[in-house]
Amino acid sequence: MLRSVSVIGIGETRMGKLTSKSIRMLIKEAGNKAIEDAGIEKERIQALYMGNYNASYWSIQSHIGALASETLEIGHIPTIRTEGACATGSLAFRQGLNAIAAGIYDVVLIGGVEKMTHKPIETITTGLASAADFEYEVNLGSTFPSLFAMIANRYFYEYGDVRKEMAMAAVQNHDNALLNSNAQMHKKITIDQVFNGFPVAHPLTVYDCSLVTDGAAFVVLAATEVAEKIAKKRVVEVIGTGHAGDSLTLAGKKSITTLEATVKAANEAYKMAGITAKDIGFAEVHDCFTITQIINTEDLGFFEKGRGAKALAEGKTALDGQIPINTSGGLKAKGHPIGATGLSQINEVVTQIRGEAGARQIKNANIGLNHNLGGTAATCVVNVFKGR
Amino acid sequence: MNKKATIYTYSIIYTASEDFKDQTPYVIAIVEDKDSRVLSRIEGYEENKEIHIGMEVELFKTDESGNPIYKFIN
Amino acid sequence: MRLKDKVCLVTGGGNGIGRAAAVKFAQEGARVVVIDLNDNAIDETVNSIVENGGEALGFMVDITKKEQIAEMVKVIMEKYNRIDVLVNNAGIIMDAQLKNMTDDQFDKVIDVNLKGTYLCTKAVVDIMINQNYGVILNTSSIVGIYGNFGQTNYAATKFGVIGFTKTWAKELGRKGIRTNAVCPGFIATSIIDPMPERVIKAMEDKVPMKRLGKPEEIANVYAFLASDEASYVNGAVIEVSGGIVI
Repeated sequence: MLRSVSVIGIGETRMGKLTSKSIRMLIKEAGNKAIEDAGIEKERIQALYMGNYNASYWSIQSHIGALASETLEIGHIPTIRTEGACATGSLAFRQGLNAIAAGIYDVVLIGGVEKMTHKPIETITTGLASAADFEYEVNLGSTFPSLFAMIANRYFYEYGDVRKEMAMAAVQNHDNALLNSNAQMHKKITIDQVFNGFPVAHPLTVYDCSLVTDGAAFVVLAATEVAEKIAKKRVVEVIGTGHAGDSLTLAGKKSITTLEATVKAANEAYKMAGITAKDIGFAEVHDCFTITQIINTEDLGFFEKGRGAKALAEGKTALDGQIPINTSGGLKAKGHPIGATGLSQINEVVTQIRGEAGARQIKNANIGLNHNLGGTAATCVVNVFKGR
Repeated sequence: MNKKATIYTYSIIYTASEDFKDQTPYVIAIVEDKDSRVLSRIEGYEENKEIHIGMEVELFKTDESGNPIYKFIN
Repeated sequence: MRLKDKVCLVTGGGNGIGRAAAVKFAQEGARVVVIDLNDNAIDETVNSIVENGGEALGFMVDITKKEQIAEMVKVIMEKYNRIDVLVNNAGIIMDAQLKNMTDDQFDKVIDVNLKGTYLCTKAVVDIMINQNYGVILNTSSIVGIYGNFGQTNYAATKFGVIGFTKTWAKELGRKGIRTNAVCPGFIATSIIDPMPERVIKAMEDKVPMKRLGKPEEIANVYAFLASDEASYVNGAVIEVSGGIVI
């Protein structure tokens, strides 16, 4: 990176079915939290990078960048909205990061927001499907979950049946979410309940799928040399970042059990940080579905290909495990407000590194990672964070 | 694409979008023919029908958009 | 904030009276555990509590299954290390006149309403004894006092729950645990949705107050009984029915 960049402020709303909160209110709440957390005057913010997936469809509202800067009263600064399906939040983060690294700005605000729960399920399903290929996948009857269901079935074929471990991932994420007051789900579930849940697309039941969520999450980024002077709390440096792409269609991918975009983005981030996967202490990974969590931990290099399920079953990714995964509860239990998810993951990573995670605090949290996928891994962003 | 192809992976859809909800449960699959793969629907699914990766299916028709639709071989 | 920090379990907390009780308890500062069979209903109750700044957690548990109850209690104790209040509100109806009732209808209602209440209470009683503190609130019904046409099974369970209440009041009173029963009358919950207008009107006419009760009005009584304001109320059976006699 040209210039080192650090996180100096974080803030997010509770995630869930927030009927009484509009997009504006979500932005106002999370944005102001982050700015206050950073301890800076609003005048210091030089640009705003917003991530939002589908307000254009679900709320007939585009141009979220301008909406956010007006709502937050941060002045008539440059704004932009990014979109990359479920990787949207991390993409917004990366845009802001790149701008500071290149020396264009010193301090930027980055936010993600999504409002989804106010629409009927058919409208949500249709909106979600546009993260896949409409012409070659959705038009033929694919639903977004069915694409990952196909990934699961192929994974079983290549590496063995991991249905039980997928259910364990859901149970583990729900357990973690019990300790996260911002999580959508505060509900204990069991493996049997996952197996017997409402079938969505074989082998996935409703409990294998992440949630429909409203929420917003913001981050304040600053050049590290500036951060050291102005930050109120422990500065968390972005020591590595990676961004990779792959085909939009599932059929167009070389392999659907090794998600190449993850592998590439992770390698780019690790190389930049001068580390290997072994150095990562904990991670927020993109568990849009339970099978994805298992695959992600392999593609990120935490476990060998085909061994992610066993590692999970052995407790290696639990809160007290060797590499805690999704301590926030993940997309499965904390929630998945699409445009905000990547930034919510970053909120969790920073909270852990600062030692502010309360009941779900990991010991010695110092190097953490967030991993964000878009579509069936057509886009991937990986960021590595380290406490200073 | 030849008339026959094999199943590379599949799923049975129980929860569908508005346009397809009258057809559930139905099978969606990525079918493979030599080295090329394409996503398609496989018609002729009945509950508890045995499906496995590697199974042969055959081209049935193309839809209005020109996408190939396959069916199970009986 | 009469229930500040009290860990309160509400079975059947997914809707109707159970949900109203869960929400009311949360408003009074309680840490609420919502127990139900219906997943979405649990989420909605938990969500409506958390949205208003309260604390709640949900479990999908079949109260006729001892192991599920035990597993749940284990998790609650790991998190909170105490259980202060148990509201045995979960219940079902399967109405038929005696001459038409099937054994299955009989057994199912007994299993959930009577045995389920027994199993849940048994699962927490030792914890409450150790604490020298606890409140057990049993949902009976006016049917548990007057009986009702077509409710052989339901009436037996609602009379039975009063039996539990008076017995547990005697056994547990000295252990710092109070047990009481609440008998709701005709309450406007989703159970009456399928009933025709004229039937509802007839029900309302029978009530001296000339209206159905609201779930919140039952919840208010639960909240009082759960709190220390009811510190000397033990073994009581309280009708909340607008004065109706059926």
